[in-house]
Amino acid sequence: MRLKLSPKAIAAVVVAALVLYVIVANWAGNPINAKNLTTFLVVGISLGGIYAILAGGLVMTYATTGIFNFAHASIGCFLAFAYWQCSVKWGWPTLVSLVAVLGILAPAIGIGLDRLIMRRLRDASLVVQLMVTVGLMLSFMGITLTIWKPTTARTLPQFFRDSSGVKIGEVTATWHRIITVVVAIGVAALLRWLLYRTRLGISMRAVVDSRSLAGLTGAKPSVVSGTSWAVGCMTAGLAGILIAPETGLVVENLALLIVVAAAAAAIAQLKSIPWAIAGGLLIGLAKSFTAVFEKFDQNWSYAPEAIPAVVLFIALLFLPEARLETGKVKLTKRTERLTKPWEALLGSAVVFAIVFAWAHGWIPWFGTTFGQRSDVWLGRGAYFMVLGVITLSLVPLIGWAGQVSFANFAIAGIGAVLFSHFGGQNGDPIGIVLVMAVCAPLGLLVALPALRLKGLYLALATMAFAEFTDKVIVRHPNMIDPSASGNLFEPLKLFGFRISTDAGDRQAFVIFLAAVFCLFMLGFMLMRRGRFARRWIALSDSPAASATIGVNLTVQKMLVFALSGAVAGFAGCMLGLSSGALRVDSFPLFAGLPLVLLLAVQGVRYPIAAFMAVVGLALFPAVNELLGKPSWLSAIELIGPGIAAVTMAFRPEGAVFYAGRDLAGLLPWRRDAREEKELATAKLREQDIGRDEIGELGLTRAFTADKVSQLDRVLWVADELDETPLVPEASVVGGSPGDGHGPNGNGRTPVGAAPEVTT
Amino acid sequence: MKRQRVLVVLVALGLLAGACGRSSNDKANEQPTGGGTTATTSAANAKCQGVQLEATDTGVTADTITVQVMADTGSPLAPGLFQGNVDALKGFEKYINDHGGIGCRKLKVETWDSKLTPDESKNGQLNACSTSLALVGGNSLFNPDVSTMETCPDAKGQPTGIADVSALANDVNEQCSLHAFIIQGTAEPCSPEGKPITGSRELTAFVGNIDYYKTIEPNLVGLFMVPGDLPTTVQSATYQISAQQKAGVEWIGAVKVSGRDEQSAFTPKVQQARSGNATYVYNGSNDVAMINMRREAATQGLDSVKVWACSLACYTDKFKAASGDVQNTYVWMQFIPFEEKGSNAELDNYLSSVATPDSFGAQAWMAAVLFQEAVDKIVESDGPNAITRAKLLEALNGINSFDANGWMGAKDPKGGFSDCMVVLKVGANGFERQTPSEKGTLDCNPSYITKVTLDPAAEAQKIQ
Repeated sequence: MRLKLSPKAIAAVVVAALVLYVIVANWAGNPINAKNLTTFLVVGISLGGIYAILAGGLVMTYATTGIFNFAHASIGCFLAFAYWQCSVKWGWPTLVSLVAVLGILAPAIGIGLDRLIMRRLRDASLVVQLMVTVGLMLSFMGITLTIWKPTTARTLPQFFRDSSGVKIGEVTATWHRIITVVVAIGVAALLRWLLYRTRLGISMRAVVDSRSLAGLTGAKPSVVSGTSWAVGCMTAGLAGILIAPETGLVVENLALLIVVAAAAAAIAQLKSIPWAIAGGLLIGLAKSFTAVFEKFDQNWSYAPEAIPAVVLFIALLFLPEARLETGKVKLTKRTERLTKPWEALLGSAVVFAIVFAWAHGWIPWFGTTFGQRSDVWLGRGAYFMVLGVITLSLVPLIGWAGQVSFANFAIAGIGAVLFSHFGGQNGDPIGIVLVMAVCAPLGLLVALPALRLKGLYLALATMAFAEFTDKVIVRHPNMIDPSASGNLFEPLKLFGFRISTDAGDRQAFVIFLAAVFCLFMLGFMLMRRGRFARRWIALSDSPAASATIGVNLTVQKMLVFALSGAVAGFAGCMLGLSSGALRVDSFPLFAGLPLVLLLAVQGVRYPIAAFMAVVGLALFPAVNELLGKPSWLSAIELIGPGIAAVTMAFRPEGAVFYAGRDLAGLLPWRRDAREEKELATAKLREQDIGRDEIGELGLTRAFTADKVSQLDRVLWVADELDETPLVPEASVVGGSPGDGHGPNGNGRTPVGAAPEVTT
Repeated sequence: MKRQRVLVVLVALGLLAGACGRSSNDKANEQPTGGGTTATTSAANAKCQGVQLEATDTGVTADTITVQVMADTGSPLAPGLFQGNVDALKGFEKYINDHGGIGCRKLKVETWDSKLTPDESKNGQLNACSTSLALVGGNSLFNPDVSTMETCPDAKGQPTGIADVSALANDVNEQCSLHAFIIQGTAEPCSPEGKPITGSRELTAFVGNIDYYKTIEPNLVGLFMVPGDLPTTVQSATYQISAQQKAGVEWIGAVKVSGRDEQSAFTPKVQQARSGNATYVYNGSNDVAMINMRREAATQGLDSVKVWACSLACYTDKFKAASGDVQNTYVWMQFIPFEEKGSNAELDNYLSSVATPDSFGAQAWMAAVLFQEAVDKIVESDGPNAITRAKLLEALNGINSFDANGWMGAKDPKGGFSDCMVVLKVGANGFERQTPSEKGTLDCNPSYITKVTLDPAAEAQKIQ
């Protein structure tokens, strides 16, 4: 008989062998006795309960809204602080405080989020969905830090802290921890019952699958989605209140738990709440096991901190391979007008000229001489240009190929560290080439999950990579020597120039970086016209269609990740050079998020957006200085990036697109831009008319069978609208409005699917 | 944005650096305190009469002297971390200008936020070089590249550099710089050229507190809580472990902890202390770690520990607010505590000038007093038009013992530790003095300072 092993079985054996090897190789030698086992279990379950309760809420929110909420932990953090305000600061009774926070404030936040933001994300791309929730995360962290200053001492006491708890062997489990575990399991059971045994829960899941179909079967989509977010926020608040006494009321401690929650949620494949609870418990037990039984040497001493990232990565490894989707092609994508070569050249030259002029202090107000701090601002300029190159590396990856990655800042970090070994200490430019050569395959390594997974799972995989890089890779003594001190980089010698952050070299550094940035930008804009970029965009638009016409998806994914990795590696070299000294904690996951976020805000498909993103970043310190460092600006600095990301719900294409379209419309020869704007305006007007009609018919109320005749009326109105073109016929090329054969079957060419205008 | 979660712990580490000292059991000198800045200022001001004041160097005009305080205050995840330093210098500016100014001029304090990054720390040096006479009262945790402050040109274009009269210097490069004059004690040895020494080396530590703890529990069998967030923080604990061992502590273990750990994560540490019958637990991390450890110890019923001890890192409002959980924790420090207002003029000046005093701010004020002392020396010897960066460096180098008018234990600002201490204990009403018993005094003894020779990087590998 022939033994046939599935790839999953092989992977399971390999993972199990690796885990076993790590356990054996780092065994601390502690005996496996009742005392140690009790400690391991009690601590593990206590920790696991904390993670489980957060993961359960995260999965519930995803299952009922279809949106992975990066802000889940930070909302919980905000609500925990609100609970402290009520119960400790104001001295309200515990029950009243719980009702006020979980019964009133949390649902209000959830419903508010749904009404203001989340409804607009229903049909948004994954990038927009993710970035809006990342923006919300930063916003809630900023709001919490602004209201409750971290310099003030606050303590949230455990529940029943005056009682002794339950003694198990030599270990005592406090009632608070027991409650946490029980609540985690109870919430899981309750949510599962809600989702699978109640009409509301079934409606919640149905609305995620198909909002319109759910509406036709009697559900109230708007009420249901609002309820989903309200329940999601309540679970986040409950988690925050139970966790805060264990972690302390520290914003970063609470908000960073999202990584652990994501790992537990990945085990549940983002859909099973009981499995999410199990995932949380597993991570807690794993951390406890390493604390009780393992001893890692100095090389890997930070490995236990990476347990959630490793668990996340392993969980993703066992996810079923993503199938090519067919029949779900949405005709909502706007066909881009391609930049002509001379326009690309002109755009790059303008960007270079702006930076060049700025570096020479020729721009009033924001010139480098402003505030008599030319060297300071040149140094900052260099740093921001480096961030610009990292951001630029994301354009082909996320913007074109649709591969959402949070790993590029981590790759840049690895590049910086490698450059300190490969020539940075001698100012040797060959080192840059070597680093790029290493980082390109590193990009391929990150791409491995992309070959199987897609969308959100890929984003989570890159998040795990970034976390692992921060916690393990750059902390290895062979990467950054803990004994090393001072500047690790000598000035780079290139074409007779000295490039470094020494005061005299900073101007040359900025100009050099501007030149490189513009060359990359020009290259990308020209590449956008070529077949590689066309394939990547096709890969993003419809993998199934791409595969059908013979595009090798695997090769294309690997190519785009390698390109992105190489560019990020170059940026890493410059990052090292601009910082001078490297610290092991310089490249955390959360340091890279703002770059992805700001790129998305500006327009993830456009190379120029990378420049605009860093200009936005640089504006805060510049305005701060211009206005004399007012204290209110600190609050805006904390909350602002998050708010900016939230605006993507309203302007999903990114600021560069809208500004570019409006500005291009002013040019006499850009009739296409004017037409496109007219078309968008017409679409909005049409939606308004449709809404008014429906409103008059009272269809905002519950839909029942007796409203069928009214539905007929709505459809008739829609047909009537179809017969009346809202834009001049000449503005639409390639389609004939009203001919009944438009792409959406109703005779109108959708705005988002406007065919390419010949230029 | 870095990036900042580990940094709070680093702060503790920096403070921990200040918690080094040396010991001896003979409580010899109880150093009385007194005086204040006003008297010194008056003496120097006598030299101002009839002098046509001139602009003498960058940061010194005919009517103002500009200094810059650089501290980590605006990091997104740790906003206001060292705001105390800035508040102290702003308070000092008002105080000194209300009392006749400095160097016959008004003092102007500029602020710089180093944002917990090496980039902005270097930018801060550059900015100070272009605007200020000196960096005063600073506290930037990541300041590894000090080349700018060592070589930047003065008004005549000479590469004089700029004096860094800082409250605390966490980075060894800053500690060793010949331009740095530091209030907080430093353990690392430096080369005569002002560079750090690597490998096995002789480090300085303070162990006077151990002598006191032995009066409470003669048999100190201990667990050391190592700040474990970064390799450098782990290394900084190694010489303290060694020094305390030399002073008589028997270690049952050294465990890495973090202020980010959940309280449950402290259970195995508590179990370890219980298994080893620990009588002593020393916290080398921050206040949050100690609070969590003590709470978990109470939960698990650990009662063998007689001495819970911590450094200046626990002299915080947060620790005080948690007094119900951390009662009887000993905290040792090297200046007269805020609770003893009225016992020292300089302490009173600080407390009356700053709304929210903290230990960082206190040390920043002390740095400002050191700067003032150096400027007064220049004025007294060469007149108010002799104030230049070069003269300031010369004057500061001439100060070998500084005690902030009796507020802190005397030490050489160029390096090392004071041999003075005061030990407090957390009681029901906050921090209560234990030794020396007399209010407003410090217990000083040269034998409180000890030396240990080791390679911190190698020793760090032994810590789990």
